[in-house]
Amino acid sequence: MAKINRRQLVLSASAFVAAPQILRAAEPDTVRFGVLHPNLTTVIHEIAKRTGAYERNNLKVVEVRFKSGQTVEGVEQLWRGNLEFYMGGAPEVPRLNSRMIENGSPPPLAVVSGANRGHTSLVLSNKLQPKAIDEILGQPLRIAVSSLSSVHLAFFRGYLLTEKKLDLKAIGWQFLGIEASNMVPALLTGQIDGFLHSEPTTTLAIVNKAGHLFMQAARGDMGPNPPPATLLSSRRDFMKQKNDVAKRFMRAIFDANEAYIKAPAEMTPLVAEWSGQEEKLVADAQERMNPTTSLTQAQAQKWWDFIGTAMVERGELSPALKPFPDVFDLSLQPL
Amino acid sequence: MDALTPPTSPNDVDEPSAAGEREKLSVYGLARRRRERRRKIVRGSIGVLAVLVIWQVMAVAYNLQQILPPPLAVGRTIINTLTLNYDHRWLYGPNIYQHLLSSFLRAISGFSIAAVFAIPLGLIVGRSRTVREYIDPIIRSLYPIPGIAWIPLAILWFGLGNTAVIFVVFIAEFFPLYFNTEAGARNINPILVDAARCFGAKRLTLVRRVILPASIPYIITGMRIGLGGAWRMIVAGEMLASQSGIGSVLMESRYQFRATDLMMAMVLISIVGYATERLIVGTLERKTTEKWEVKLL
Repeated sequence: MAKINRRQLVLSASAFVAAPQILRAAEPDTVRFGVLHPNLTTVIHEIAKRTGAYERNNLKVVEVRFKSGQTVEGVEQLWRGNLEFYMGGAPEVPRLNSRMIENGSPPPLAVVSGANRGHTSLVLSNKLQPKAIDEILGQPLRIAVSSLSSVHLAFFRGYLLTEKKLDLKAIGWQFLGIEASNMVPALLTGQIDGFLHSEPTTTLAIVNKAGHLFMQAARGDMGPNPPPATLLSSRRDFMKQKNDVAKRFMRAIFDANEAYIKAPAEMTPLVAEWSGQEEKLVADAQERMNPTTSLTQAQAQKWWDFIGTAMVERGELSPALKPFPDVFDLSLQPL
Repeated sequence: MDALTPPTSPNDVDEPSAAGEREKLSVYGLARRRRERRRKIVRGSIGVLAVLVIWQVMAVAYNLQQILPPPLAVGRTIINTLTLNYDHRWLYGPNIYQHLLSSFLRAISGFSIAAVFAIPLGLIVGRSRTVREYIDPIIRSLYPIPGIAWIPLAILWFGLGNTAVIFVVFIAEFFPLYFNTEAGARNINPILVDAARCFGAKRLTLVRRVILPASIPYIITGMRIGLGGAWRMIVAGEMLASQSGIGSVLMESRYQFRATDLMMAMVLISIVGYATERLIVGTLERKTTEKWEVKLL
């Protein structure tokens, strides 16, 4: 029988101890990611999935879907620790952080990135053909929004405040909370005079001749350099405890950005499948959308100046809430 | 004999049921009832108080303000809201009284329309086998559809606003009213009907003097169940298809992550729902029992 020397014994013992840890290290880290689905604004996740960006970054992403318009549920789940990341509408995260600060607790969530800059459209009924917005601001129009807390309404409020020096109360419009899927039928049947929403609702209205695109933030109709309409958020405790995993997740999202930028037209079938819309409609909508996800300090500040301050003004956010560090933490992005 | 005078001899009592009635109205009976009522109130209050204390302690001790606001904070919010002296900016449109009024009017409208259709239909179906055989399968096949499932269709038919919500309330109230009335009309003792016929009662008199009074306990129960359901549907309907009403306040407070406002809306729904039930069903109950001297279930 071969004799085992001391060196071999030490090496075998070390290998025996280290092997499970090495194996575990090779296993992908699990990240629970909440996304609005079916929805155009969160398509970057599907791109990351289909292009293998998550696998390349050694991540196993568990997708948790939320119905469009139900961002509040997603943010609640993120806050309760049932998700690591959430992507959807924007104002809920600062709102929740604000409530926590009011209760004397630290803000639990952070906005880590954003997408769909200027994704807000004002679509009007074909009966209304004003040349400039000033012509209709005093009229008693019924304008639909997905909820009275909608990011698009917040955005429009920000536009009025910064560009027109007007408050929402000073204009004659009545804002009605309607699910996005009901906006086009409501416009067609004359129940509303217009809506403030994003894609594909805008394209659907145009294609079905229910209305016309009167203003779009992305083309500069609501001021220069519009901020993002969709935010990507995470839990601060997760970001601290598993910073490496969080950074790899952001890396995967940036890989997906590159894939989209390289060939947006090739992504149309994928976007159509994810959003549950027809390819032709998506191809039209793609002119007005940009799902790539990244956020600079200046863009975050712009979001705050445009949307955040209007929310503070309205009483939705505590004046004690500061954009940095209470709302945004952009350190995960590989910028 | 004076109703409040206690019976002095067995001869004063004509029969056992009458004796029971008199005993109930006697001074001793009244005193006993008063004692029982007091005991019920004390025990009920202790139960409620215990729950409130545990709730307050848990919420404060475990720092649950954001998901389970303490009852003192909820109480303070209710008082501030009712006195229009808000502790933060009011983000829910018109003041709370206007919201409650909108909800109340919708509940009453839905309830009235349901009563107008369900009670006569229930009486007819309960008394006529032929009509029952035609109508019953339709009603029973519609009954399992939950009220909330009618909301998308209601929005499609009536658009967003009052009519859609009233329709959903009507649907929710129709079935308990119908089924209770039908059961009441079907279970009338045939001897009563035959006796009335022997005395020459024609169809309308029979309905007015026998069928309706005999069905009243069932109808009142149906109304009580229906009105509770109406408030549940009002909230569901207003959350989805309306910009005013207590349901919309509840939904919006959730969007704002204001759990205290959310609980304030829930407590107000409970108070107004209870008050509506007492006011409407209680009044009807009193009026009908006085008029027809019927015993309620």
